[in-house]
Amino acid sequence: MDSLLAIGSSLLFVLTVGIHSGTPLVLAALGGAFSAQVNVFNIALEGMMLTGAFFGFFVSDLTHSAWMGLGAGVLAGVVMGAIFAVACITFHSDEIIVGFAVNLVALSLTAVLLKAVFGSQGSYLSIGAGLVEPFFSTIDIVVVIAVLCIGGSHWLIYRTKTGLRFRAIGSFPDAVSAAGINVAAYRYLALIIGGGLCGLAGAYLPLSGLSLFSVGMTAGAGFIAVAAVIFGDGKPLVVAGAAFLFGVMTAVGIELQRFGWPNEIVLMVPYVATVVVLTLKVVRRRSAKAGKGNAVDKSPAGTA
Amino acid sequence: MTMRAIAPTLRYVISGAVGLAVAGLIVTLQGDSFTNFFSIVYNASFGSGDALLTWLRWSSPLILSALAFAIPFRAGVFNIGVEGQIIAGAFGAGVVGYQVSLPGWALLPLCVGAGILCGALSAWPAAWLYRRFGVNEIVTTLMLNYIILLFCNMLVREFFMATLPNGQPTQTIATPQVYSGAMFSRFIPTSDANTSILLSLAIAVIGAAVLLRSHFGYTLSAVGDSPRFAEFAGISVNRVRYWALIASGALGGLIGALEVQGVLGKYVDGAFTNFGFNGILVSLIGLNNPVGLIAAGLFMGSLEAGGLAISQYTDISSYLVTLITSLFILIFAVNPLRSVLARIRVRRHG
Repeated sequence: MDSLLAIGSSLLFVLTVGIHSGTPLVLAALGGAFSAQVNVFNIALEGMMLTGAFFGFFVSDLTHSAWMGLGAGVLAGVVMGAIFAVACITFHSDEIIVGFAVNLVALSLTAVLLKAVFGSQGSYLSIGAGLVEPFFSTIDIVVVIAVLCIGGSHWLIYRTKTGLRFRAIGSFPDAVSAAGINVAAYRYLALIIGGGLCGLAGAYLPLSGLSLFSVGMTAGAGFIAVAAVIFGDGKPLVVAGAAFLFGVMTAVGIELQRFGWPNEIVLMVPYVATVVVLTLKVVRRRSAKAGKGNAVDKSPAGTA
Repeated sequence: MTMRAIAPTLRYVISGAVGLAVAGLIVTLQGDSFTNFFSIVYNASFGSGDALLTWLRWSSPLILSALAFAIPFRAGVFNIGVEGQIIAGAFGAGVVGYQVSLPGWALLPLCVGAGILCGALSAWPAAWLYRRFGVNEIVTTLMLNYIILLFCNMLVREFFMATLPNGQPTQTIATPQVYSGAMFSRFIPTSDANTSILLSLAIAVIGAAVLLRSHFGYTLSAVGDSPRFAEFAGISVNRVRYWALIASGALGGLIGALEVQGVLGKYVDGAFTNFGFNGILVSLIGLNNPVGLIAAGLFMGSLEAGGLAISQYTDISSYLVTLITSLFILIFAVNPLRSVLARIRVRRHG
């Protein structure tokens, strides 16, 4: 009976903590899904989140309103998304390099501003900042928004004209362009939506629980979101599901540590699972090609 | 000079100007003077003999890391996992360095070798998946960064954890101090700079020579510049890229080993952040050219040393130098000149 109770409380803990750590991952991963839909490999999710986190924290500290903070986070994410879009779409720069630069700009800019505004080197705890208060267990308004965003993203991508164009651009950009549709404009839109979602995800970090901002506080969450995007192949429902599961892994890790097990085993799961799923996808595509009786694919690998 | 000849120089100038303008704005808004900021950065690297050593201490891992990125890049593949490979190398050197009791002349190279081996092994999954199935190496190397970090931390905590005098494990995940025989000797007691710098610089020069003058280097470039042509010429593109990734991992491992055996004396969780990622920046600033990246590495090394001095002497965050370099890279990658020039050309000929 005791052990049943222990398992029950463990599961409850995993679920509640999982919701809390999974929510920003789901939001950021949905943001990444929009980029994936228009075939832009976006590794700048981390930087967009971090910028959202800082400006969300800053504005919430100024205005004592969590809503203003969340709004500022979204706006900051949108700006970063727009910068990424200008570099990659208007100037045709390399997505990976720009993504890296954006991540580093976000990390250093927020660190410099933290020192300049709050006079703090590493982290700053705000006293007056408005917080997102949970109304049941760990469920708060942002969790609700995240759930709505999952449905909304699915609807937008699969049930609207804009979504159809996103998907078409992802598969056949030249054909879409030939049909007289402004490919660049739709890519901009997708990246800006993605930036906004990442900004919201970032702002949620300092505004839920502790009202604290620390340098590089996203700590790789953006890259877990990238993993979820690759895992789910940009499909919003799968991506969100994966991101939530990856968030649950954090909670499982804490529980494992409590019982003296290394938590790293579960923390590795998102990254290992992504590599495995990607490999399976590539293998399946290759065997599908071979099955059609085409000549063996001799083109250099790595284009998948 | 023609437009074509001025363009690359102008590209550096514009990128640098944007980075400096933003930094200048922040420094001025914080009530400091820009000239003061510069003299601190300058003196941190060139102000004294000690400073010169500090400058080289920060430059040499950056140069090696840039080389590690440039080798596969020249062959047309991205290794953004150098960060993780450095950690693997540090793990190898750190564990061997305190587990094996040997005289220094044997232990020191053994540790370096262990670091290189661990680095190469940690790049192997990505290289193999690429060669065997054509799995995108950008994704796998990126994911491996975290897998390796977590894996090494787990092994250290379970098997190689350092303990405090009272028998309790230390706060951060770390191995015990390596035997002194495994350590490179310092030039002067007051500076972290040590003889591993000479090894790094020698490897950088050899690496540059190999890339620019050897058969292997030429094969890499051939594969990177024109894979289909290389394939027709009888070069196995996948095989070359596989070995380029492994070599890159080995170099990353070497950086980790030298950090442990030169400065830290043990594997410490979180002590190696950003050498791998900054190496990418250095390589890009140097246009992935071996000579260019050595110059860029020396430049970035002075900024790195300067950043530490800034946080010591002013109210400005040490991250300001990272901001300058990352803005530099952003503008540099965007290359505003290219589209401007293209427009001019169209106007002239169209």
